[in-house]
Amino acid sequence: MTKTRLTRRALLAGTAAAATAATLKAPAIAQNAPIKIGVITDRVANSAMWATLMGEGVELATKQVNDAGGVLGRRIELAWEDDQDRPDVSATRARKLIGDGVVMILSLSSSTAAQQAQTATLEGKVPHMSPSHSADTLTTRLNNPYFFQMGPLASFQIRTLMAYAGTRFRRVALLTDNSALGTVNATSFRQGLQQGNIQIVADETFERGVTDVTPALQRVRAANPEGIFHAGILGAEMALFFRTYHQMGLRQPVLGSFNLSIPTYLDLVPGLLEGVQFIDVYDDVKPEVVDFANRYKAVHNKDPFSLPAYGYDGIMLTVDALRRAGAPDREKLRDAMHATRNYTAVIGARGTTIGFAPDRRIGFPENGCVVRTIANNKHGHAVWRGLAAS
Amino acid sequence: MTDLLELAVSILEAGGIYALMALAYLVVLRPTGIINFAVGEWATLASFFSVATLGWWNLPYIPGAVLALAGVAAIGALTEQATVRPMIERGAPILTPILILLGMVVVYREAAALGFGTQNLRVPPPLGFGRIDLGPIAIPMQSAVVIAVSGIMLAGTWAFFERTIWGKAFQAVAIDRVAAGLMGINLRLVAAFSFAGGAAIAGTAGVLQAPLTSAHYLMGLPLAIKGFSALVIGGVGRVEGCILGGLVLAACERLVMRYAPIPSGFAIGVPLLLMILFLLVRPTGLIGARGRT
Amino acid sequence: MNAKLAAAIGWLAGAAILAALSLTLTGYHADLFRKLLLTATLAVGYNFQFGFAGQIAFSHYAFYGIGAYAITILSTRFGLALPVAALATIGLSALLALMVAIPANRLEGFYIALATLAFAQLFVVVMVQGGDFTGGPDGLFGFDAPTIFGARLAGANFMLVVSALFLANLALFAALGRSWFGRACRAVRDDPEAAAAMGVDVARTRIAVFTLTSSLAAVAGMAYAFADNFVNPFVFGIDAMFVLLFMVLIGGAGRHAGAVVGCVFLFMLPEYLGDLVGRFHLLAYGILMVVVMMFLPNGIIGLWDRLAKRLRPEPAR
Repeated sequence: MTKTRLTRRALLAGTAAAATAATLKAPAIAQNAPIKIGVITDRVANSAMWATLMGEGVELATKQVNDAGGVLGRRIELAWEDDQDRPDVSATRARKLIGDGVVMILSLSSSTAAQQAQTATLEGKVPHMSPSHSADTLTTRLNNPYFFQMGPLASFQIRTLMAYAGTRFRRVALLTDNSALGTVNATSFRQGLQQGNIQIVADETFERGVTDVTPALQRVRAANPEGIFHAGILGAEMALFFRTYHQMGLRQPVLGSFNLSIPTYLDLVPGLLEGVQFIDVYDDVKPEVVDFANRYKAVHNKDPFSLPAYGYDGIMLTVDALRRAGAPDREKLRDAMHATRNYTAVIGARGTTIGFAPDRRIGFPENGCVVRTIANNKHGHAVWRGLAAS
Repeated sequence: MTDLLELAVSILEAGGIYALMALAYLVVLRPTGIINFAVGEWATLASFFSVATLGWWNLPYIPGAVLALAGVAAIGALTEQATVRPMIERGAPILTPILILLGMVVVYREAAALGFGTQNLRVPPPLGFGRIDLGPIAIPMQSAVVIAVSGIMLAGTWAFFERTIWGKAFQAVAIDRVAAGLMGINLRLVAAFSFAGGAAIAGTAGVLQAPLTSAHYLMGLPLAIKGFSALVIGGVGRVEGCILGGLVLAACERLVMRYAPIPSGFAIGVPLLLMILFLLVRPTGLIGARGRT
Repeated sequence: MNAKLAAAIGWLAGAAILAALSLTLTGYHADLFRKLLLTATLAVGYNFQFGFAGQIAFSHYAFYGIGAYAITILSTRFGLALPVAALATIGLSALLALMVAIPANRLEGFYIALATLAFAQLFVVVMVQGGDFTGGPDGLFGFDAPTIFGARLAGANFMLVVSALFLANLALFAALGRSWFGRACRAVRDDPEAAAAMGVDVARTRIAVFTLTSSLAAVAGMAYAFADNFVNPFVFGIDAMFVLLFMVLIGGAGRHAGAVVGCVFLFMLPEYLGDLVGRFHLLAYGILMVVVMMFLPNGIIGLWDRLAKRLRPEPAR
């Protein structure tokens, strides 16, 4: 019966470990102990590409705050967790961070992971923020008063694109990929277009790992849309789309989500993005953006873009709220987050601000997106801040 | 008409990639009996190597691509030496090396991510992205390259197996390992060559595909699954089966995607469903194996 | 007699420890505990399917997902009482398992792998594209923990249920493994023709094993739905399936204790190794996998057996 014996041993070891953990639980926070902020990232799977870049912004902001003497007389300490892009693991890691005494959790991994992590922050009553996610469903499907979403909702993005396009399009194609975020974004895009009485004449989904997209683009061509809206987010599939689009000689203007603000595409398909119009939250003439860009360049020796800015703002907004809360207390921090009004962040169109009205857990302003175009294989300045101006 | 011609090109192109991936399985499977799921990662590694040779070091295309393929072939042979051979010599069941290679999938993938990062990287094409005008349609240059190279590779492997003494040796090993060894065929050399060859073939698929998409450390699994599907559809055992399987799979995917009146998100699932049904109707594939009971 | 008594004491002690842990653990450790036990339940069943019966199927996590989705949809969307929904879920998953098993029985070795791989991928595609019905890529959540017999299935109660489920699975498969059926399974695995000659109905044995293990995976999935009251398609993907296979292999395929040990080991590995080596933890895990397969063909449990033998040689029976 070695089997049972062994199982028991393993479990005994588990009990011992648990008992040790229980004795360690009550934290005696010294007066100048650092303030812990938890960050859930993805280092190894599908979201690693953007989570890593957002993490650069998180580090940058933390260093900046600590170099300036910290907040409330204390240093900020980051507690990193890797959820491997798995929603169930994300919830477990959120619980770990809660046990470690963090005052805030930032979710940089996928939006589905952030969604499941909410079950932990709701139960543990810990402020939880998603700096970048666009999924409209993050705040609608769980009533979690501790959760805050700072990113530009997909519904804001499509409304901005539609307002920008005006009456140019009555018949459009909607493209996406079968990633989680691509599917969720496309759902919001679809709703937005339908509400605007714009007919979707072709609605195509690219499979992750697809080796050519000719059939889907033939359907687009056959439907003869006036424009192509792209809600997809996968790098290789996006590159393949632009190659095939050019090879098939399509001429319709391409309007993209904030995903196209990632400069990687300029390297992947150089020259094929000319004239592409995309949503961004990075308005590079804004003073806050110029300041952020200089700080980032000093460390990384390259120009930043939207992704590091989300991470930077995530920390900066938390620090601002901590300052207003007056103490590193979760309830006070949550109230302070809700009291956030007119906070000028790096992200958002010039003249717009972030704020969480008492019953509102979406911080990004509806008019905060800008439209940029690509010319000479470079992201141009914002060509349109129409919603912000109106 | 234009659509159908374009689709034909698209089917030949994707079918070529799938067939190469299937062939990479076959070249290892035939003499060793090992189903090697690491072929997808071999494609990934070759793509990354070509980023280095062609993109970073700016070598001319042919030497650059050959160097990348040689690199991955060496890795294939080394993997065989280090992990598979000791198991075979110890007389372990055939499942053991199969599962070890499944573990190698993780090792290859994570090593690639550590060496080349998690970002998508651009892979240069051999002849650019122009189009060849052929009256009713214009064939994208890279599609033509994919079709030509995969065609030559498949034909070459077929000729190797059917027409050369070395290929016969592979065949003999496939039929009866012990007898082949007694006949003086160097089993070790055959195994090492089969892994190097399989890696170079999978690598070719990667180097051909990556200019259109990109090199990315997670690109291997979808390719491995498509290749395995093509292998099984065609019938495990012969090069013709790989070609047929690749083309049938590619045609099925593309025709469903183009003409099936269902939402395209669900259309992704149709080839999977057809695959299950196909296995039930014809578990041995379209072309039966040769030399196996 | 003594051996039986020792076994009974072993099981009771195991149950007592699991119960004690269920009643005392909170927060992160509780979450880890219940998700670990659920995965271990899966591993024990998969070990029977793969290790005992030799079926290389990649659909185990898909059935886990089918159980989770079915009970959630039936109880929250159609408002069925939990026991009814549970019975309906078991019926549905058994039916689906049978539908996969009967034709798959015609397939040999890796063809089953491909058919079940396609099935598993199809499941994720349908769940992601299922719109409001399946919750799409976000999945289903926002429902409350269910109540049975006046007890809310959350916290300690939930962990007790999961502990009982795990022990029941372990006991069932341990008993099956020792029974005539277990011997028939191993005979079919090692040599189907010889098994048939011995009077084993090969087809029936294969179908029975697949249906039973898959249905029990679905039962574990039903419990999983209430771990976070959250069901998401990506949890049930191919990657998780490979990890499950590795768990069984690293622990020692064909041994119940091996499946449990392998599961605990690989489940906890990223929890601790991730902090130490960051991104490298997956590489370490891959290398470990290869090394164990090469040098410990019977897994960790095989190593344990050897050590135990060396430390105190047991008298011959």
